[in-house]
Amino acid sequence: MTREEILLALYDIMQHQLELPSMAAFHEDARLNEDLYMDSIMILQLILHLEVDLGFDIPDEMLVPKDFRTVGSLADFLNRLQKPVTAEASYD
Amino acid sequence: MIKVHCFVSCVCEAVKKTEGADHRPYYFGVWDADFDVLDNGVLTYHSKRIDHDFFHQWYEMLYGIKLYRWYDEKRSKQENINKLLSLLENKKHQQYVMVMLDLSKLPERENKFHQSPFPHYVMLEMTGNEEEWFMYDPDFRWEGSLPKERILAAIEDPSAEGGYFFDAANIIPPSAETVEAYFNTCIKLDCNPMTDAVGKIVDLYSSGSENYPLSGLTFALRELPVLAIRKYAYEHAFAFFWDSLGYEEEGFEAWCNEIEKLVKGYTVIQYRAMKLAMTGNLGLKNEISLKLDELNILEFKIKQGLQKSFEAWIKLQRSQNIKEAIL
Repeated sequence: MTREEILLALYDIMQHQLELPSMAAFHEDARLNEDLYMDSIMILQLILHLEVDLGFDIPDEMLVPKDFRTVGSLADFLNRLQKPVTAEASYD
Repeated sequence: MIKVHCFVSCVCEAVKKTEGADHRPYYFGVWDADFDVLDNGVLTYHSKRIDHDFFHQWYEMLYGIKLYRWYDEKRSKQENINKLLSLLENKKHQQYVMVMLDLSKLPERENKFHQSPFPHYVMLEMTGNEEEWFMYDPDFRWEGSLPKERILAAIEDPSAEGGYFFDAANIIPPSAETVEAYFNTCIKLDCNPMTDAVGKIVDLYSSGSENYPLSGLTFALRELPVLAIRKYAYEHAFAFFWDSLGYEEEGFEAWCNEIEKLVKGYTVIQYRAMKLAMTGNLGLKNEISLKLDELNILEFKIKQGLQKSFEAWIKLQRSQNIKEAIL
């Protein structure tokens, strides 16, 4: 997935799976907690959808996420996470 | 201060404002503070079966402050609000009025847990403006003025029932003997009640019982983050003993890392439980059990480390007493 596709996927999960009432504030710079009003459980739900629905493999230490402060930093993290897979795919 | 326990944080506010009185020993009771597992298998930090009597009594014993429970559950909400109004009108400078309200009714306030209702203790004061009250929320490190009517609406919520009043004018620092007795009462070296309860809840919801469907596990553990942060209370205890004993900062930092690992470990448990509920993959149950075992070992290690520093502290107190007796 490109970073753009990741951002669209994040929007889709937050809008349709988590049904966040604060989606009007969705933006790359929006902070998950302060702007989108996501609590720690909602963030876990988001990660769960990223793993189960989209196949991202999120390591345990990322469940208390410093990288997940904003939508953009989460997208960057996910983008980095899939890099080894991309490299392997191109190697094949 | 880290958000740990709203009742404790409120009464500690007065201790922190008093020179020479140390609030940290009071946190001994927080790491294994009461919680409840409701009949439907839901873990909760607040229920009708939980009162604050333990913290109430020990606050009085540690700091010599009498805590009055002004809220009377047998009386109507309006009668209790009238009592609150009279306490606020007559409040003197060093007096504190605590009240439980539903924090979710004040959405402009930071509420990282997004629980609704969210019963929570705060302290109130009147302001020069009749329409506004000043609210202290030491647990969330927040204070400010809010419309009186909005605060009253949050107090009126049926989920919130409670209130205390105290006068901190004659606060006394706790004696070493009282701190020792309190530590001995609080430290549970042979069990970690919350970890045990989480294990039982996971078993219950994965047993195939119709009353406890696997999909309900997420809800059953939704308050785990509120309870997990109580484990930060260990930091206060280590800090208290470390300061008294004059130990190196490095050792304290190492324990803080272990405590952080423990708190974060519950996030992993919660995540795996949510994944189990969502996917129905029972293989995850084993992963949860392994993590619970790991957390049990870690918490016992923290408790043993604390016990060791407590014993060194006792030794120091005794030797100081002997010195004072000789001199």
